[in-house]
Amino acid sequence: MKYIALLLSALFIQFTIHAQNSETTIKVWGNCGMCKKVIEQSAKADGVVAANWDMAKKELAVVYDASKISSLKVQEQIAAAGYDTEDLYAPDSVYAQLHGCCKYDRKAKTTTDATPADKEAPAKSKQQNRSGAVAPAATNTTLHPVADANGNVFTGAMIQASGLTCALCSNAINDALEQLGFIASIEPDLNTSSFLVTFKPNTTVSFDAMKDAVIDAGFSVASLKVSANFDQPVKVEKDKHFTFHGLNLHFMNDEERELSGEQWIKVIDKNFIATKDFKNFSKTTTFGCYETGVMADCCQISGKKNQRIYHITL
Amino acid sequence: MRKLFFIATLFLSYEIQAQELYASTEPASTLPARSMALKYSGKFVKTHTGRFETRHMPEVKVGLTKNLMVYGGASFSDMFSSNMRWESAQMYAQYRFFSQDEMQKHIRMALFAKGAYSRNKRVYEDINLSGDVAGLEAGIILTQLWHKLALSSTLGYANAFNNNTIINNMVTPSQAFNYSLSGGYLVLPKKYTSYKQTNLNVYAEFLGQQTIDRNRYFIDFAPAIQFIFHSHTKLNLGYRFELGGNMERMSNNLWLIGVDRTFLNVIKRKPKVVH
Repeated sequence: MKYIALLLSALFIQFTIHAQNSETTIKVWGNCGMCKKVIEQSAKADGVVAANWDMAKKELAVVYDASKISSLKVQEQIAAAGYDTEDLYAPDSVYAQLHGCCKYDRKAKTTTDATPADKEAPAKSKQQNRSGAVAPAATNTTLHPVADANGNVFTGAMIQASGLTCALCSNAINDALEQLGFIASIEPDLNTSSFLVTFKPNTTVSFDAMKDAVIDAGFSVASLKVSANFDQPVKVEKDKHFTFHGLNLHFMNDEERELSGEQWIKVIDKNFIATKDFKNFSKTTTFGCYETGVMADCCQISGKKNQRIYHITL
Repeated sequence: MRKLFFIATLFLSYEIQAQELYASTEPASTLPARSMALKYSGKFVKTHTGRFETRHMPEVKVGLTKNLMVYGGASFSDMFSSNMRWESAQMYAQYRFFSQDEMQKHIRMALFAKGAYSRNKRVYEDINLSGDVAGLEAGIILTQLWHKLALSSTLGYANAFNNNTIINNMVTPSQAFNYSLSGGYLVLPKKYTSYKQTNLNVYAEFLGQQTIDRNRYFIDFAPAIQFIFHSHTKLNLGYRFELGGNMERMSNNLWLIGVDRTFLNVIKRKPKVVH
């Protein structure tokens, strides 16, 4: 009996505990979810245990067996697939064949002279690039969706789901969110059932679609916060209505103030927060649109009756 | 690791073989909408006559909406024949009608209905709609989750069709209440780092049947361990044995193995107007 238990335990240890591996972060240029897929796939060679590209930071986290492969070798493979890395440039011919949405702003050649010929001095070029990489990142507008006429944009969201613990459940939500066309990347935190979402450029963001993704996966939204960039300051006050990036918004319970720069706003409509919290908010407002989520006579933006209106708070 | 060793030892010490369990009960939660799962269950018994018999059950599960799940399955076995052959088919539908979600907690309730066709003649007293007997069953499921612990109970009413066999000088029962109480606990990982981590769950289930038209019953205990790979594939290993009962059954214990792969969002949604 004991031997079988031992055997099982040993088998399990093999699943969970990996050999000692090296970890590193490599700057890799790219744009979208498609880039992420190609970058991660091209990085995965013999000896690479895991590769995860962070779209927002343009960084690839790699776990690899240093006895089998080097960071530079990994970069060679990524560059061969058309993506500039901190030490290497992708061949122009391969870059030219990338899909339209993957045509990222290339690494500025002025920041470093690193080319594949620099293989002899990867450490040095790495240093140069880390400082030099600021240039393309700062000019890279593709991180965020295109701004509206006022230059204001939604950049991403933090969704927390309730009703689950297991990884399989979290995976169901993650996959449902991945289906949404306006989402570029998702960083799940399985321990808190939360998902940090980055939006794609040139897309219309739908809060309802994100909420429905969670509900269709079989769970509930505990909170949905959206990150908005107010390039042009916006004045808010209690029950103020306005249109932001194509969405009708109603500020609830917020004191008069001016919003500018990066702000997190919380959606407090039905099914975006816990039921008891929704009931509490309901009690504090006389606006009928809060119950229905649809513009009504009570609303202060004319000509938009029966349109969806989201109720938000800071 | 010591805890795992302890649990592995605990569960395996009932009998040497391990088995899966999820074939026995469903939680009130349904499959995610527009998703599918393929499941294989194998049941292995040694009958009272000492013959080793097996049953293989493939199933296709579909999450039609966030609340409605259906599945169809078939079974192949040599339990009622000398050779392995197709013997039965089942249809199952489950509707989740109540959900109360909180952070890492939920209370859920669902209704289910099952229909089973079987080629087998009624030889035993228990009403097993997963291969042995043709019939219908309907019932209710209540599941509660508290972080790593989930409890679920099922109450169902089953009606068997082919019940004209005489066993122990009486006609086989045709109506029964099925009931179960199941507990599951997430043992590993202690802390999640990715969807690729292997998860380990342990289960303990009490499964009972009380026939209505004849006073017969059994109550079984079914422990199981479950590995989940890549957050989409389950491997269940379990054993089921009788704690008490007065029924003429094929066997008072069996081993189970189950493999279940979920395919998320494989059914395309209709384009929806985005406001």
